[in-house]
Amino acid sequence: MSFSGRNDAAASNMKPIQVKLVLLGESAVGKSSIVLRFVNNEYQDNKEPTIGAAFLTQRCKLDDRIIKFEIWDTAGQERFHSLAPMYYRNAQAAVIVYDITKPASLEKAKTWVKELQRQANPNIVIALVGNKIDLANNRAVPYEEAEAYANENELLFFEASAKTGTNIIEVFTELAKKIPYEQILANNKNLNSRPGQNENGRVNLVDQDNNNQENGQCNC
Amino acid sequence: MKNEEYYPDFSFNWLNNYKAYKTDLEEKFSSMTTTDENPFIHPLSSEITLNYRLSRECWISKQLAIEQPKFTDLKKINIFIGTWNVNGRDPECSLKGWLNSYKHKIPDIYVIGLQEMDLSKEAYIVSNNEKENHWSEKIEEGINSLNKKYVKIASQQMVGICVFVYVRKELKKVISNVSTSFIGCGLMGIMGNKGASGIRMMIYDSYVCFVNSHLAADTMQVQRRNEDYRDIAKNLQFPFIPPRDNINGFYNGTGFNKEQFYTENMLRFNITSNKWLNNICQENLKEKGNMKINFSIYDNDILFWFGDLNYRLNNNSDVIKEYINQGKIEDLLEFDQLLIEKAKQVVFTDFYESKITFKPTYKYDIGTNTFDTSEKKRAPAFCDRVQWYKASNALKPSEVSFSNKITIEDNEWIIPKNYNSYGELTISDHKPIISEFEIWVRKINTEKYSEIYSQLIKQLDHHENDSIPVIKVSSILVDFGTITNNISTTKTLIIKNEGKVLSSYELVTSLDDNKTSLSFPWISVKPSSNTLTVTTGISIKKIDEIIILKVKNGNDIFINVKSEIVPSLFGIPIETLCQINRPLSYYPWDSILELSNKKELSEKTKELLENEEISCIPKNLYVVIDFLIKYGRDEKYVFNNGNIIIKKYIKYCLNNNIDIDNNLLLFGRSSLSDSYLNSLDNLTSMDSMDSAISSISKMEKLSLYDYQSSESKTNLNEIIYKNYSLKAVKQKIAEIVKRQGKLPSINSMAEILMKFLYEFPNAVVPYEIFKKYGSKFQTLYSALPSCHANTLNYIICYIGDTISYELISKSELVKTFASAIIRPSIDFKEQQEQNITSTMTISKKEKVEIAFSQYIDEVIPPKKK
Repeated sequence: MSFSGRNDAAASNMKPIQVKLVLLGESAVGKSSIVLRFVNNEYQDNKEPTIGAAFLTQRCKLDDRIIKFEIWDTAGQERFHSLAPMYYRNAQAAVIVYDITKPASLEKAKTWVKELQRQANPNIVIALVGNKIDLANNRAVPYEEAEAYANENELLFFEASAKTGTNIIEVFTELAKKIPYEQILANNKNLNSRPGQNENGRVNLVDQDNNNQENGQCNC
Repeated sequence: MKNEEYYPDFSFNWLNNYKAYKTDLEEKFSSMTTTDENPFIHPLSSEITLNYRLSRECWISKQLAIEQPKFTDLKKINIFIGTWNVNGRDPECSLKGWLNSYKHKIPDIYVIGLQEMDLSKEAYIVSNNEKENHWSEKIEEGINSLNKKYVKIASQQMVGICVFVYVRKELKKVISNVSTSFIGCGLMGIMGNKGASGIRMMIYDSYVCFVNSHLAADTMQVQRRNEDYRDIAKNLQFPFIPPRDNINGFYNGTGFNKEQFYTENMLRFNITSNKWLNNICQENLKEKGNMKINFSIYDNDILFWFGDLNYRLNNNSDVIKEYINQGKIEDLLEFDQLLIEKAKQVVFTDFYESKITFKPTYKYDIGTNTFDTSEKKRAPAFCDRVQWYKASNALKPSEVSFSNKITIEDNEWIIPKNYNSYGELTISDHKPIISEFEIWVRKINTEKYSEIYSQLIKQLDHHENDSIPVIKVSSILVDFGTITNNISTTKTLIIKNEGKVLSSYELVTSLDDNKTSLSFPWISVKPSSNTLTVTTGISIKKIDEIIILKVKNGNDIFINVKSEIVPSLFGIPIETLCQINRPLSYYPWDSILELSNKKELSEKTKELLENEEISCIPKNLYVVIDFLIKYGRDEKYVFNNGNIIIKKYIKYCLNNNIDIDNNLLLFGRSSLSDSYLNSLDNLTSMDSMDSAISSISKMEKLSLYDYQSSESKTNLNEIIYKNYSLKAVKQKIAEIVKRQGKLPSINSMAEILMKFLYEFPNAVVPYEIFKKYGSKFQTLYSALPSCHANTLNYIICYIGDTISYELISKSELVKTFASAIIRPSIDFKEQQEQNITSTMTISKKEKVEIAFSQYIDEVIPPKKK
């Protein structure tokens, strides 16, 4: 008991658990802005559209764990839709973003939810995020409607603003709380016992323990 | 005992792991002083990325060490260390006097080392706590008085060598991670009662270790004592005790994480030697399983080593006694073997000792304070000593404490306060030693530590994101425009590294994890020049694909590759060519694909082919060869490079099923009047023709380098870039023919013939069939599909006809045609046309040429002269 202080210090030194997180949603709903706000606490107006998939990392402290988010911010344009499975495959978390001023973007978000439910890792934790609440005057999607949809599909739900920073940290913290870490650790363990497997994509999260030494990938 | 068996090891290599030792990696990090420096970006970044994980650990360790003063406070602890060789006696006297003879302050911790506590024979064989308990009781009786109470933390016995640690009751809570260990010295560690026992513990947040030893006796045995010392220093190790209630911490069931442990304890050990870290990380990576970790006595912040070290004075008994009588203790030290050996740096290197001001503690007549008067008359000596060690690279306490309450005088971790012997105890032939120390131990302010640690992690994230490669591509759309089947087209894509680290990339097209490299057969990448090349076989209609540029450790970039395909006769299989008699544009491309890929024909295709006769050889090939037979037999240099404009015209005619204007090609004059020509142009619609010409132009432009033309480049560009009408092309051709005669036309036609032959996806004579049936023309002929057989026969007839004119030798013709006709089929997954012939080995080529020559003789017997 008297050493609890020391154990706290020990906890903060723990090996972080890697969580692969993917952002999905229609073009121009603010996916990259959400990431930028989360990672660098910055905001840029009129960001260029993402062509490809941007990769960033961010560690989060959660109780006695350190979570290292490996964030794949994907392109929202429809013509890249077919490439999305590369990014959500093996993801433990997904943030599906829509724009509260554009009802069509919620419809697109719903198709993403369906696709993930059908094709992604069954344990994936999904958050539905209505972005741009700073533009609440132009709101076209009622809070209740999206919330009801999220509840129905067992999604975390937030309305947020990358511009003002409202609720951005909360999205990631709440996701972090919901992730089944025991399974991740168990998976890691299994994979560790079979080195050489899953060595292909670095989009594949869980294999990094094996090959980080070769490919220089950080494995915090 | 045979002394010769001991070879002293003066190299001390084994110490390297424990001593401050600069490795390359540390060298790299040693200059790093602020958190602004990114551990992932380094002049030698490629090397560093290999050690990505190590970089990270080192960075955190380094930063924590730098930030140490901000979260560390110091606590002063008073320590009483007593050591006594009790000569096997029972503690029948009180130890109160000895243990309470401290001069400085009331001790917080008592450390008592006894030697020869148990001299019984049984002690060697069975461990017996009886004596230990007996002494323990006596010590407790001695240290506990009315106003202070001590509790035992640990004791460890090794035969007669026993060490006890007691701490004031109220301080017990700051002691943790206690472990004990012992080691025997002498032959195989079995014989003798020499060796050491030790206790290691954490006081607040510093590791402190106490080693009690009894080294070899006898004045002459200096080497043995040195050897014993090295044995103990090397082999006395303490096991790691994982913290109990930390499930996900050090011990999470997946193996002990040494790195993490290192980071955690970096501050406590104050070891900046990355050599140690390096070893640990590497070990950890090698065997991730369960491993045991042991700590040497040097893996501590503070180390005390005391006991009967048994070093004597190098002088005779009488002289020594004389010095003692005169009170010249200091002069005696000159003869002290331990000080002499220490000066040579062979034992207790980097250990400190207080100045000896007391009389030798050995050897006394029992029950007296008189030096040995027995027959042996052993010389007095300072056998019993207390040494201490601190890591040589340790910072000064003032540099560590964030409260900065340290005065200059006690700016050392260990401050000796008293060093003396205690004469009142006479039950042994040794006198006990009293020593007092003040030591500083770290107390980590966990709140501040967590805060700083979080900041560092944030900073590290920032560095890590900053070190993500930044790759820019010149364009995310690669548009090849219109391309023709079977012609390779190249576009350059500039990939630029604008980031701060080295990186690598690959182009990926497949979603399938098993295929990481390019999987579209029609595209190839030359990374050295960053070019994309597209070659289409007769299998696709249109290209609109996304290629992913994967940057190692960085973002993925999507590149759209686009192209429209304009069909051409070249590259269409012989069978298909035999089936279509109308202009290529008459048939939907889908129908051509169905025919070529031998798929089931759609209703539409069937309808189109209805009432169409199947020709025995491709009609267009017939047109070309017929022209050569009629007008080329009187030329010697038929197979030279043709003229690009004439070729374009011929291709245009062939693709659109328009009769070739022989008058134009042979004599430079149009057989039809200009007015008719104009009307023809109008009929076929000027626009479409222009666009057709322009598409051919583009095609030619792209394949320009494949066809070295005799035309000057400027002239070419003029024609290629302006959209000439058919009329203008004809005028141009007329000029050429008028100037140069018909040879350019013949050459062009011959070149188109060769192009036809080379670009049939399946060769006229596929190599596999040749290999099986190729020994005789007749067998080969009957093995080939009929249109192939007919074509082969027709070409051989043409060759025979040419030979008969005796302008071109047979061997030259064979060389020209053999490998165009008999070759492996083109597999577009394999490579482009240029490489087809080169895939045939020289010996294969020779074989093919010999066979082909025989076929000619078989079909057209050489005239007998």
